[in-house]
Amino acid sequence: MHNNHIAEWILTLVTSRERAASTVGDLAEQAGARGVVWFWSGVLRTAGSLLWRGVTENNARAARLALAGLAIYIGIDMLHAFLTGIVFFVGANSMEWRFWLAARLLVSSVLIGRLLARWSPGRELAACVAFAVIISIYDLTPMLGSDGGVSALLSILIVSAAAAWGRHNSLARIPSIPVS
Amino acid sequence: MGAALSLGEFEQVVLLAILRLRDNAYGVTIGAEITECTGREPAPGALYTTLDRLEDKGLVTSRLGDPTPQRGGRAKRYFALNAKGLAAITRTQQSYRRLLEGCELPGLTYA
Repeated sequence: MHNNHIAEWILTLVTSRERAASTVGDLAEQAGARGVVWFWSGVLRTAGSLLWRGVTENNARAARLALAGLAIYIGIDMLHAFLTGIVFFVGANSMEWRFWLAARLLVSSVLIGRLLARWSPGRELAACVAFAVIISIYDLTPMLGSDGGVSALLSILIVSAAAAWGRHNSLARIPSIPVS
Repeated sequence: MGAALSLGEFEQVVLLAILRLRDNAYGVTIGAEITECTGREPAPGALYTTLDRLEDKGLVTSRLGDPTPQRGGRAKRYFALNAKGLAAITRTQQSYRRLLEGCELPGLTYA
């Protein structure tokens, strides 16, 4: 049994509520004959296509947003390094260090995700995809990123979740169009 | 005169399917019409992305129909070509026709 509400929620991340609802309706209409696997495959492929369209249609803007996100990331990284020196100076145990590292990643990623959502209304996750590409290059390049691929992956996940949260908050402020 | 809007191959296919379906052009029927006429089943992602792009380009308009139970209570989104869309597809097809004139293709005759 497929859940149309989850499918609609996924598509609402990359398109308007009305378009998401009608697309899920179309897929649900055919799902009886084609099956659940086809339905979910259709939902995910449609979401992926719409997301990629958001990145490629205005790639200069996507690149600018990604670079702005990277600048914030590096800025917080530098601030973190500076404060880490102070933490070590006063003497911190390993638990405090792990908390400190997690807090840096969490704070910078949530901040970047919310800012990308604000700067790119309607294309929130497309901006996150562009940021994911840039941050992966940064974190996997020796001498640039310090933590390797794990922190990049965690950052991408948190940034995307924060941007999705921002998108749903902004959509909640828009009244839905009543269907006659 | 402004620059002519270029249409991709799949955009033309979708526009022609909408034109053929008249008042009954929504996602499911457009996909079925394309499959019937071309023998290729369009991927849902490609179809909905193209429909969104055509609407954003101002070539088609859409309206919501009535919700039905077999669609989980969700409305159909009907598409129609507007004057700009009709002009774009006409211009593109005229170009194809001019190219085809005088060509000898198996099973096709153009004067």
